[in-house]
Amino acid sequence: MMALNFSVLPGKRGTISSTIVLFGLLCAAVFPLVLRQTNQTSLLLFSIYFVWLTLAQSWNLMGGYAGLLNLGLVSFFALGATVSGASMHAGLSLAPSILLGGLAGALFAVALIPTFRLRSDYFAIATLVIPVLMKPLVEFFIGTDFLVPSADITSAIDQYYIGLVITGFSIFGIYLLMRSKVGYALKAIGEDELASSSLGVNILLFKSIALVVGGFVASIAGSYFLEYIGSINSTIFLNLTYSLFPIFMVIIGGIGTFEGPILGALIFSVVNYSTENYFSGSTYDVLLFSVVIMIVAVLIPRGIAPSALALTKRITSRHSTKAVISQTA
Amino acid sequence: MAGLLSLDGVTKSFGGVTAVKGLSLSVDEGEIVGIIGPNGAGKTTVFNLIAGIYKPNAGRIIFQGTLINGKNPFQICKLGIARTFQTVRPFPKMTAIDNVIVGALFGRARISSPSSSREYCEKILQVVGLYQKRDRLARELTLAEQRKLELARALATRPQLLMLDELMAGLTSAEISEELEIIRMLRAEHKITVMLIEHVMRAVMQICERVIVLDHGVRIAEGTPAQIASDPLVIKAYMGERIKTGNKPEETTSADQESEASES
Ligand SMILES: Nc1ncnc2c1ncn2[C@@H]1O[C@H](COP(=O)(O)OP(=O)(O)O)[C@@H](O)[C@H]1O
Ligand SMILES: [Mg+2]
Repeated sequence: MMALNFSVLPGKRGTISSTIVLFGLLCAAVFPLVLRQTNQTSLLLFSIYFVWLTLAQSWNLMGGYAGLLNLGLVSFFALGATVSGASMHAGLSLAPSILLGGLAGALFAVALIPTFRLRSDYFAIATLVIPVLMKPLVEFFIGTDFLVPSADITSAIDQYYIGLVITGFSIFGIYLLMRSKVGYALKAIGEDELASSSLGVNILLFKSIALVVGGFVASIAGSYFLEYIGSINSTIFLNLTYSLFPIFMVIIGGIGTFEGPILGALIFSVVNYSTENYFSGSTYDVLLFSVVIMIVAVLIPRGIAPSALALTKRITSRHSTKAVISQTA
Repeated sequence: MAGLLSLDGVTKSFGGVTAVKGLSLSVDEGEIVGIIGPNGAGKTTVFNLIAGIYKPNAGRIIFQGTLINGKNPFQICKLGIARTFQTVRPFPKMTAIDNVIVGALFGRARISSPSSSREYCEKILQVVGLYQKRDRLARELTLAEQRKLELARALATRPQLLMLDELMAGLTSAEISEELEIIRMLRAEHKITVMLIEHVMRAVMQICERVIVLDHGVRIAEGTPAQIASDPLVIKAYMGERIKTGNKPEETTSADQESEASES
């Protein structure tokens, strides 16, 4: 039997994957420097993928590690966008506004804790309904249209780097969290709640921590999205794209793994980029991505990351047995 | 010796089935108490009640002078009660040592970080004899090894009261002797009080100072192993099964040897 370790806890594989991801982020950091000055506006094309990468991180923490089925990630995302928009209008500069958007999401997450106190399925239903309820509330208290003030509009290259920093922090922040005490609790809860609580793990506390951190990350992604897109309207609360696509990405890539959300978001981005550029239609990417999801769901239900790792491990172990045989021969 | 744990008129029913009926018992610090009884007698339910997995319908459970029924399992663990599960519940996709680290981080030991708990957990794995397998995933371990892992995890929480639910089922005679040695050491060196549910009578007879016999959720007998072995009510509850002390191998009948062989 082939034995595999998909654990995010300390281990050789976790270190290799995180090194690869770190290298990828460094490449992304160098990328604008190799572009010629005139091409720098093309960076705008890539900045949106930072939003998706960050949203996938958020959903994987809640849904993959803490087992909280969040069907309304858009409520965090849109709340971040609207709060940061309102903050910029109130005179706050860009960075504090983005941070305030994130804090609003964290606070909102705290308010959601009672929904999974009793039964975890209440949480899923609540998250489904809440965006619809939040739209009129936000319109009443914060506003309907949110425009980035001209003082806060950044150049393509600055925007790219802001996105990169947010993505880097979300990936490695969650990575470090999962290697900490909190990570052990979440991993144990994900495997067996009864055994965890018998070993002293306060399930409600650690699920809440995952929700609050995940909510913060998703709302930061929303704040950044406003900066990227320039203006949004409160109807964004009704846009299911931001609730569903991150789930698809995480499932495709491998739920509850370090690599999963990154891989899923990258695959989505490649599909999205090629449809935008070669078929020039926004419906194609949804279509194509849906096909990819169905293929993955049927062929590799555990997601790409775990299965790809299984394959490489099988290949490398075959090589090593061969080596051993040839040595002994 | 001070009373560590006491149950007072504890009752628990599931629908129509009353698994535990008005049970009272007490355990003193440093004791090794056995709980025996036929299948379905309510033994595991007693552990689940103490561990906070079930709330009693009636009665009080008191640990070190505080009422603990109504508390959550995680709170009870932090107070110093650890248990193993009859049906093992390892974290299958975590390594053996990571399984143990969970206990060390969140139990009564409350070690502050995974890295600082590693050495402590390696020692525990050495005690139960799983050190060589520390980096294997729990699901790759044999059932006997998973039982040892259950014990290691429970020990990592640094309990005052350790409840072992059929820890020795399916172990070989040699493995049973090892486990008994570990339990003796735990009491001698770490002052751990032990309650154990066991069908392996040799183990019960050798290690327990006191044995409580349950049948249909009621305590039908209590006493030293020797008293229990000759109690007519107990013998009746076991429907004629002969309880052997196992101290003298020459007493072992051929039927007993058969059952021991099938266990291992
Ligand atoms: N969660 C449960 N739901 C329903 N019935 C249960 C549950 N747990 C135990 N029982 C019943 O309670 C009785 C005692 O079970 P248990 O405590 O497991 O016995 P033992 O450990 O002595 O073999 C049995 O009749 C069993 O079917
Ligand atoms: Mg039982």
